Amino acid sequence: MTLHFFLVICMIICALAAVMAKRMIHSAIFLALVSVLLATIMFSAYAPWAGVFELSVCAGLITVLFASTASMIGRGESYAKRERKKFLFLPPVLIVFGVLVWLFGGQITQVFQISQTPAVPAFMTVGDVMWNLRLPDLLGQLCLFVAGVMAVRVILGEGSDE
Amino acid sequence: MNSLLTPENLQFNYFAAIMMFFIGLYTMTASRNLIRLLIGLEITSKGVMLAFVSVGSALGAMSFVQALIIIMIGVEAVVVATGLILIIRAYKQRGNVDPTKLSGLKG
Repeated sequence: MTLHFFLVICMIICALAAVMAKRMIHSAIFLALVSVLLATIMFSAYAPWAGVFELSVCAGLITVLFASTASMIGRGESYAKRERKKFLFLPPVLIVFGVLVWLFGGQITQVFQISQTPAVPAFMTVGDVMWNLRLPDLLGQLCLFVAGVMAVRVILGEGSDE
Repeated sequence: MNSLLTPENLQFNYFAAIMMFFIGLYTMTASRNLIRLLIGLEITSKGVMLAFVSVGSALGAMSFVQALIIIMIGVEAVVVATGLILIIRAYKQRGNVDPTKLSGLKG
């Protein structure tokens, strides 16, 4: 078993643990582990910028947000007790689904191999792509950030009146 | 450059991405907890990112894929932050995070 297989299998196990964990804080930690493992895979695939963002934003910021929400609500455990029965079915269902995909999913994975022509010239850096080719996306993301900040401000502001 | 992503690994990556997507989808449909629902959404997007990285590696378009992933991570952070704030507000008003019990706007 190579290092890559080990990383990917660990990532799937951590994802399962994140949705099946009894306490929300454990779910947040397992989700952070998924992010760390995905970032490692990104680094190994020569995608360092994506890896850095994945590590800092997903494994850092989003984990802090989930952990603080879990501690503010603090009733994850009682909900997990009711939900646990549903999630006990997940591993066997996942195994059956995985076997089916492994046996019959060859056609699906071949879809990704249709075009062998790179969409972007190899000499273009991530910055070139973002500023020259994906500028509308970048502006849209900026608008989304502003909208998100204003939404958070408005929603939090509602509570101060009461 | 010698990447860890050999053709066999890429095939396994596609398989893992489908698995991750399935775990997230199952969580979003089965869970009655809004926080777990967001965790399911996160896992789904991680599966998609894994597929992106694999396709980018196969096609040799890593810079393009990295740009897409960076934008995706930014959007994801905004969605999660806004979603969690809404969950906290809903919990303060209703005392639970069960989406089926949030029926205040039901006509």
